[in-house]
Amino acid sequence: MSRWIEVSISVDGEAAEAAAELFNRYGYQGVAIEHEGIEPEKIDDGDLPPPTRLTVRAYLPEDDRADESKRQLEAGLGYLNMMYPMPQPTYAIVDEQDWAEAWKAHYHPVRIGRHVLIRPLWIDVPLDESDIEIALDPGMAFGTGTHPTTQLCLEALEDVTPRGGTVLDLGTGSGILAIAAAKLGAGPILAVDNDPIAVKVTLENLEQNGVADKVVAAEGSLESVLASHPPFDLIVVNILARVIIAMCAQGLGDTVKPGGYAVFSGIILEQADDVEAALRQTGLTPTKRRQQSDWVVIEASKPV
Amino acid sequence: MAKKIKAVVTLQLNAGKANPAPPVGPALAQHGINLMGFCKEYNARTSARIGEIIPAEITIFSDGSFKFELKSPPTTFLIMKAAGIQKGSSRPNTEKVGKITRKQIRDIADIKLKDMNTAKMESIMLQIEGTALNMGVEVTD
Repeated sequence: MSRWIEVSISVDGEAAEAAAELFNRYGYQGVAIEHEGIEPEKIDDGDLPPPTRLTVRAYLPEDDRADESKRQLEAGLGYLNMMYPMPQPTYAIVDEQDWAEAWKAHYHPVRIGRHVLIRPLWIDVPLDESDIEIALDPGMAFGTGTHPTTQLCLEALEDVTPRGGTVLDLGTGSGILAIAAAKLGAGPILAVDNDPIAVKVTLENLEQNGVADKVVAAEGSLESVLASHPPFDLIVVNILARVIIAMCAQGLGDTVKPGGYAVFSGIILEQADDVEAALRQTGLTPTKRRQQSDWVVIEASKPV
Repeated sequence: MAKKIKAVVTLQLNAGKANPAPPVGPALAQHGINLMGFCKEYNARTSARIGEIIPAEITIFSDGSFKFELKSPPTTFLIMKAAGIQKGSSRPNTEKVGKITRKQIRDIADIKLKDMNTAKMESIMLQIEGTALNMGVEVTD
């Protein structure tokens, strides 16, 4: 699915909620409501007046049901018009390419930890001798190096990656952490994701960074890893607290060798205690926390 | 110095399930926001409440950074949940699709009160009652 019909309507504050509810019935996965009339460079954070007019937008897949959805939506607006003034909606075609590419203009090289340099594939950066460079096109996969969850993992990997040791990157996304582990001297490395798009992106990034011989990328899950691989010297799991806690009940600790180490990320500070409790249940001993804004990385060891 | 605001966008999304498809992609990418970063953060903060619609109000600054705040679910969503219905009536004046009690309206008002700085309980309840009627949901005692 690459083309969408953007439906927009400009309404006053009170009518926006009613319009949003109607749009929610037909729009894909929700609606967007934007304050109108904000002049750039004029309003300080905290000084925004309540909106007088709002644009409500929803997106319909451009398929054979689109005309019927439009017709129903307009009929719904006709009824709402008895309560609030509702102008006619406007329609525009938007292409997935438009937004898949748009944010790239704002993606810049970033230095993390002591030596790691992440750069977009399309921007060249002069390197120092000690730099560990990772060139990425994250596409639509998680892991651009700009988010605290990824940055904290990279800092941890700089400290704990075992030279020549085996590594599991569970939920690899763009492959960024597996590439970092390879460049920090570990291998062989298994990079697993349950999203086939992420695996495809990872394979491209492995080639690009010259580590395809050290990293195997595959579609899979904790279950498939447990069934097919012996435990690893290091595992890194950057997903979300709830997912990590659920995995702990499914034998996550068994993927770590006795004496091995583990790095967990995607955790908000208030969830850290729960994650640590779950890690203990799966046979791991939390040893260290790293924090950036309200994100936390938890490191853990497995007793020998 | 306070940051300058470039745009404010509220996304009404399914808790824990944000992804870069619409409406997130087209609504945020034009402002230069890292889509996956936003999705990860939204999902981390809402994953305990799957099944609800939780709006995120995103403030985008001139320097390209952004912050977001979670809001209470839309009144219409809370009314549908209380009335046990999937959607409002498309002909609210003639076709009634459900019922809601004043006690339930007070419960919804309690939730919405957090988003409104100055509003009084009574006026919020009246607004909610109005919204319910407009959805074809009857209010009972």
